Amino acid sequence: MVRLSHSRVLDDRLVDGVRARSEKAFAAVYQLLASDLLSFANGMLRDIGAAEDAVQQAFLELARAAPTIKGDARSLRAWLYRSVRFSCLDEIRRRKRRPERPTSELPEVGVDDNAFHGDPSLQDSLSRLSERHRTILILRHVIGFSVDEIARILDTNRTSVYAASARAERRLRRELANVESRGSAASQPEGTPTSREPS
Amino acid sequence: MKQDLKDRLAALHIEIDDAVAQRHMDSVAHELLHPQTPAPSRRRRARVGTLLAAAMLLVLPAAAFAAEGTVPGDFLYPIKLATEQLRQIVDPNIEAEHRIEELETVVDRAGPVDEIDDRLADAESAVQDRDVPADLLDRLDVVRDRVTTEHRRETPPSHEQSADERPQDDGAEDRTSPPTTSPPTTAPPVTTTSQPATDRPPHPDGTGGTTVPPEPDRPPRSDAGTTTSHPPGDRDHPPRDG
Repeated sequence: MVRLSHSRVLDDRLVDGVRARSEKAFAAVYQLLASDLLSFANGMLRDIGAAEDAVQQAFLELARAAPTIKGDARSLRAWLYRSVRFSCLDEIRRRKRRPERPTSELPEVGVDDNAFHGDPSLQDSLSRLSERHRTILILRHVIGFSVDEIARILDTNRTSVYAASARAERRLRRELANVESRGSAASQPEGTPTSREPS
Repeated sequence: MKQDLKDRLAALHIEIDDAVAQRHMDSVAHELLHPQTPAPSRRRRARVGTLLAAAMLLVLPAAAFAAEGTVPGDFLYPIKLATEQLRQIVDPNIEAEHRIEELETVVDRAGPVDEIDDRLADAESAVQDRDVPADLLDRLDVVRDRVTTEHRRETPPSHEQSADERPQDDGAEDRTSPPTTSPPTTAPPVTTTSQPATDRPPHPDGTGGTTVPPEPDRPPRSDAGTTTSHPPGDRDHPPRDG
């Protein structure tokens, strides 16, 4: 299933409305892009709450910087994806500085089931990739962007995106095989021989 | 990549919840109605930080260099003290060296006696109970001698002479000679026009000498036993009769 890009519906009149700080224009842009942005952030962070915060932060930054936004609809979309990506990178750095610790107390708010919906082994494999590889795979195969659009978001050229995408796919297949073989080994009873993991 | 893996990746796409979307749009609408000052972009913040760091790297060493020759009371003297604290880690004699340099500077400038005394006390306390090199102690001795020979002499003696009794214009020789308590000598009598000057060659017109006019800043003294003959126009008062 490949999703279509929204470049045809996010037209330049909406961008003019955003520059004019029109609430209707903002609502239209949000309706068009919020789910894609949330999927991107959730793929990066594997945390639906943090992903929602990243999307909200991106639209708040857009509301503050609206008059200074340049370019057409593609530029506006790339701007929003870059904003979400930077928020995700900040969150990843914050987690590295303050890693989560096990606690004996239960949190007051329960964990959202949406955070774990989908494919746990695939998400586990994605989280083992580098940030750049993960970004490219999510943008290309989850959101459905073309190589040119990914190059615009990452501020690079299409050759670099092609090469990185090929490496990321190879790496993901390898990680996925590792994760699934470990999962099958754990589910098998003791004494059963397991297949060799690829190096 | 196999199609099944692409499908698995595409299945990770999620839709945003309506309640979450409403909450986001409320916050955006509030931001649009009450705009705040836009936060500087990351690139701009990084550029400002780089400029500040570069300015600090340039200004701090320049200020430390400019503060090297300062003395207490100068504008940059606190910077000198701050850098001195750091340099003391590698050079324990830097404080003594600085205090002696400041004393030398104040003595060279011929500053007030009180200031020289303060700097001398600071320098002596800086070398006290410390393993200070001999050359620094020699420098301190030299400047201490200069203080006693050059500046202490300028302090007035306890039994001051009155201004009338002091010799008025004795030149630099009097500044180097020790103060004396002997009564001052009287001013030499002013020669009159009738007395020929024996140490001068005769005038070509045959008058036998030149007349020496009285010094303008010294009034003629009537108690010297000589009479002066001024032209009537030079007198402030008309001659008295009798």
